[in-house]
Amino acid sequence: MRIWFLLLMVISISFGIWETVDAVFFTPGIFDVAESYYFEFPLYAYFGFSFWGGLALLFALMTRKEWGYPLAFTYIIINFAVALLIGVVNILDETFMLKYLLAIAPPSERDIGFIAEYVAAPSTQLRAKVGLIVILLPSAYYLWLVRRNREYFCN
Amino acid sequence: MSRKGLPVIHATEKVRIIMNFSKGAFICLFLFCLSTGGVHAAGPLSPVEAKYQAEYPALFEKYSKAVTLIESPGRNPAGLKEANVLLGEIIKANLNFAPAYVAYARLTFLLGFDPGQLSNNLRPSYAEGTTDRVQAAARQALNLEPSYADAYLPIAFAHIYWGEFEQARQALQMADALGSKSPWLYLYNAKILFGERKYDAAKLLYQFVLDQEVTDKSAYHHALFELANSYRFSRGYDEAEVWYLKAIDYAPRPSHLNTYASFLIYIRTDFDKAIEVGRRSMELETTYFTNFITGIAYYAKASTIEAESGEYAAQPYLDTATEIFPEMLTAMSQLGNHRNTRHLSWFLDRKIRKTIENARSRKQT
Repeated sequence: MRIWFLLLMVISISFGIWETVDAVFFTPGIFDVAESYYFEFPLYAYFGFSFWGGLALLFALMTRKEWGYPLAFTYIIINFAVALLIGVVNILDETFMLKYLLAIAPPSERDIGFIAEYVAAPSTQLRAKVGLIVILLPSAYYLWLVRRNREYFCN
Repeated sequence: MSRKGLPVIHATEKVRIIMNFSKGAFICLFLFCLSTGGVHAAGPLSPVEAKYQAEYPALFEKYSKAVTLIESPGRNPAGLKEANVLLGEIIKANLNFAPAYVAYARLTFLLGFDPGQLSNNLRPSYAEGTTDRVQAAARQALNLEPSYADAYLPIAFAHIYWGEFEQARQALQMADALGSKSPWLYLYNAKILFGERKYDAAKLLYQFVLDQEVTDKSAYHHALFELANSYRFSRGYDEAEVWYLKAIDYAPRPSHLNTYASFLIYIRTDFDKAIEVGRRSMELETTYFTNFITGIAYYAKASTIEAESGEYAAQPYLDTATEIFPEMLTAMSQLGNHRNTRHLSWFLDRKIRKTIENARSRKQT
C-alpha cells in the first residue's frame, strides 16, 4: 500500500513539474490565453508552486519530513482547484478551448478551421463536461491516500 | 494593453512572484520568466515588414499610412483612393517593395467591391478581374519574398470568393506555418467554415478575433458583422441583432446597414426600424441595393398599414416606396420569398393587378 502511495505521488508530482516546464518552455502561448482572462499572475504563481512545491514534496517524500504532509495536501488541493477552475471556464466560455488548442498547437502543424470545428462539435462540449466530473475523482482519491498515509511523514 | 509592446509589466509581475522563493529558486524562475518574456516581446510588424522598414524607412512610412487607410473600418472611398496613390508612389520608387504588393492586393478587393450588387445571400460581388489582380499582386510579393506569410492571405480570399475552399485552406495553412499574425488568418478560416455552413465553428473564430487586441480596425469590424451573420444563419436572431448593432455602432457601412435592414424586414418584420436603417444607408451611399432594401421596407409597411387601416392610410408609404424603388414586381417576389413576409406580397400582387386592369380599361376607353 505504501509503495502504491509513493508511486502515485511521484507520478503526480512529476506530472506537475513537467506541466510547468512544458508551459514555460514549449507552449508559452497559454500565458497569452491566461492574460486574456486576467489570470496571468495566478497562473505564474500556480506553475511556480507546481514546480518548486513539487520538488519540495519529492524531497519530503524521500526524507520523510513532517511538513511533507500539509504540503502534499496543499499540492493536491491547489491542483484540484486549478483543474476545477479550468473546467468551469471551459463550460462557461466556449472560446476557451479554442484559444487553448490554438495556443498549444504549433502553427506549422495546425489547421485552424479543423480546431474550431472540433471545439464547436456538440460531442466535444459534452466531453468537456464529463471530463470535469471525471477529473474530480482522482483528486479525491489522492486526498484519501495522503490522509491514510499520514504516519509516513512522521519519521 | 499591447502585451507585445509592454514586456516590463510582465517582468514586474514575475519579480513579485519569485520574491517568495529561495535564492536558487529566484534564479531558475527568473530564467523561466525571461524565456516567456521573449515570446511576449514580439512586435506587431511581420519579419518581412520589419526588414523593409529598416531598409527603406521613408517608403515604409508611406506604406504604413496606406495600410492605416486600408484598415479603416468605414470603407472611406477618398481614403482608399489616397492609399492607392501612396502605393503607386511606393512601387514607382521601388519595384521590389514586397509589402506594397500585399497592401495593393488588399486594396484591390476594397476598390473592386461593388455595393450595388450585394446579393441577398450576403455574398459580396466584385468588379470583373478583381480576383485576378489580387492574385497577381500577392504572387508578385511572394516572388520577391517567398517567406512572406501575409501574402498568402489575399490569395486565400480570392479562392474563398470563388468557392475554392480547399485551395483557400492550403493558402491559409501556408500563411500560418510561415508565422502570419494577421487576424485575417482566423477571419478567412471562419469564412470558409461559414461557406460550408458550419456556423457554430465560424462563430467561435469570429469571437476569438474579437477577444484579441486587434489593431486592424477593419478586421475587428468584419468580425463583428460576420458574427452577426453567423448567428442569423444559425437562427440565433437575438444575438444576431446585438452583433449587427455593435458592428453598425463601430462604423456604419452602407452594405452592413442594408444587411441589417434586410434582417429587420424578413426576420423581425420591424418595418419602421428597417425604414430608418435603410434611410441611414441611403444617406451614406445611394446605390441600387440601398434603394432596393429601403423600397421593400416601405412596400412592406404599406402592406401592413393597408391591412390595419385601409388603402387610404397606406398610400403615402406606397408613394414613397414607388419613388425610391419603382420595381414593384421585384419587391413582391422578394417579400414572397421569405416566410415572415409572404402574406405581404399579396398586397403588392393586388396593386399590380389593379394597375394592369386600370391600364387596360383606359386603353379600351
